[in-house]
Amino acid sequence: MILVRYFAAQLTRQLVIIRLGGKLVAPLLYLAASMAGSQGQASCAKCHAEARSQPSTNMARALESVEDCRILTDHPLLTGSFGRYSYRIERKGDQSVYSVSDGGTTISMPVRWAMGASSAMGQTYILEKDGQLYESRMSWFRELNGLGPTLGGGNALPADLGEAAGRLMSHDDKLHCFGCHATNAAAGREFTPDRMTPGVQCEHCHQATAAHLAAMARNSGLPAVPPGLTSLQNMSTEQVSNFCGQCHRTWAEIAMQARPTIANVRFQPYRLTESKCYDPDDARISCLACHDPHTEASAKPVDYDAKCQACHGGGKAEAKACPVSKSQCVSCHMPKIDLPGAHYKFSDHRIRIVKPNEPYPG
Amino acid sequence: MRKLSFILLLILPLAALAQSAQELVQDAQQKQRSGDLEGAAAEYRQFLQMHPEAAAIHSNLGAALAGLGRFEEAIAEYRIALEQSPSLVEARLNLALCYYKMGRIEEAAKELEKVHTEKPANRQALLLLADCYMQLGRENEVIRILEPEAPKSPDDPAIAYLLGTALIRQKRVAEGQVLVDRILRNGDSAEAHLMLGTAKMGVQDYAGARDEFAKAIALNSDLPDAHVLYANALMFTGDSDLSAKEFKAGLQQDPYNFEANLQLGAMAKQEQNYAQARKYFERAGETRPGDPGVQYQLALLAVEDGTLDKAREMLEALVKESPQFLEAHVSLAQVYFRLKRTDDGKRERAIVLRLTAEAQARQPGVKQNEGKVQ
Repeated sequence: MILVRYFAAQLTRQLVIIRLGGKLVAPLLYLAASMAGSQGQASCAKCHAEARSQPSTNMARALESVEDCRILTDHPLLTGSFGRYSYRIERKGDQSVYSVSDGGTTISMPVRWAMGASSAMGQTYILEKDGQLYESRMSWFRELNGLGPTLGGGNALPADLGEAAGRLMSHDDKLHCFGCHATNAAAGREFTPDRMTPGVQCEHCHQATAAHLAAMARNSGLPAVPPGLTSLQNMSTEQVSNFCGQCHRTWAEIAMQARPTIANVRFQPYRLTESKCYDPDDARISCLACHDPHTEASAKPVDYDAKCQACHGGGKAEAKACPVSKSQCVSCHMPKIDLPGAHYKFSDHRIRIVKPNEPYPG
Repeated sequence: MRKLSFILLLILPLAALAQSAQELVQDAQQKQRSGDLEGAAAEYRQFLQMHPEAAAIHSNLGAALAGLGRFEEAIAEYRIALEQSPSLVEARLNLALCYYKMGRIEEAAKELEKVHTEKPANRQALLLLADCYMQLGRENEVIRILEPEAPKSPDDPAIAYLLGTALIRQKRVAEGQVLVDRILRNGDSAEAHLMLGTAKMGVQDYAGARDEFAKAIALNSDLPDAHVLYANALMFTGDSDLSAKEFKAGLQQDPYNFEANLQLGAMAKQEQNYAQARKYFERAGETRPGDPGVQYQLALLAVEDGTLDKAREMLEALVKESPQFLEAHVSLAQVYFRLKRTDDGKRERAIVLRLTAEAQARQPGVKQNEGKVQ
């Protein structure tokens, strides 16, 4: 007992921080919906136009089955290397096999899932071996049009072939990753791949859709808006930020980690909240003010001008007009940040007046 | 530790007492031995009403109360015992154990220093004192008290570990390494795996630590604290379910284990089982009253209950008490926003930014831009 008290006492303090900062469970994602995802999407589309556009978004395809993964079908052989290890992802029929070799020994695993839409910036592969799931050590990046080390996989070279192949996914990893990239991936603490629908479907964000669908069935007599049906329309800017932040990371989650590194540029709700102009009660700075989750986000800076001008065009007394330009505001005030290892330039959602050569404001 | 804090030999002038009083004490002791601590405490109190001057009985009552997790009451009884009989070393050792268990390490060290001076041969006091010094970052003190003991007890793994670690931290690496290697040479022992596990935790090799703790438990599942340490490692490696199981095993060994109660409470809260979470936190709070981590968790439970004003009051008190408590500021900001106190929320967010920047500035090489603005 004496041997370990020192460490135990130190750990307690660390663990409190990590547990509080970490998002082990995103309660809203743990829907015990009884309906199948794809059927729900089609059912919703009968009445809701949004459900017709949403399936074409990257979010709706945030998880792809290996059969449907366009990157893997379009690239029947992907190769890459990391340190002394060489990698291959080879298409065989409608399946893909991921292999890593140190020159002598080779490990091969079937690819089960692709995390990230084929149309998005990149994809990480979920592999299976002996009934366990692994996150691939190498990912596909659009900018490379090929493989590179998975972001967050660590900069150090793998210690052995097993580590070079990928990282064993813990139970929590499965809940986190599939919880955001798929729908109905979990029921409580249970990982439910058999009930899971790939990608972010209607019921991922709109709870109680099953009850709503049942109510809308002819002559059901049930209330059309059942208790618990989630609508973002009535949420405040702060609530929306926390809602989207369940996957895109909230301000609180990142702030508690107290690591203001450039890696945080990926976490838009956190960055937006750090903006000087962020107002938790002003809908003009809500995530939804600029992004309709039912359509793909525009990459054209000009498309966001009206959003900025809603305040800076005279709509808000304390929001000054820009002396430089009234168009393409985001190209200066939300600079693109090159995140090392991501092979992608993220729009920094910390809206600000960028000064030349300023350090990245964590 | 429970075992150690359990029984003090009662040496009283029993002959001078009435027969009924003597029987009362004997019965209380019997109850204490058999685990009926409530019964023992009641009978000790009954006895003390007749003989409040009985220092040893105050100490025994303290031990019973400590066993029930009522540490503050236990401390009060030990204090009375020591006022009446300052040389009652057993009472002082138990008082130190209470402080130690509550995480009041400075106070524990002060009492242990007195015990060590009084009874330098007491191994338990020596090791606990060394461990307190280690926790307080006073490695030179660890070396001072253990260096003379090491040659006398060359096979004592605790001495080897504590002294070895202290020497390594004081840059006397070669000397320290010899001692640490001595434990590892003993081969496939539970203690060696426990030590390797703690060392791996120290360098954040959580998977390695997890495996070492698993081996330690496989060899000796009764090893004190092993389940809790294993559970900690499992949390870091993302296996919350097994971690919870191990924390519960830790509580089987010691129902008042602070870490196990705190972490199980956090897990229950995560599961939205708030009633269960509260039970764990309150028990952790009994071990360490006023602990900011526990207070914080209770404030978060108030947030979950929707009693936002109560949560605000608790968090405001916390940040007043611990102005550097980042998480409390973060949560307070959120509570202010939910209460529509936007200006207060913004002020808290500014504090979070400042604290983060200060923490960042203390880390060499990371305060500057890691990337570039394009």
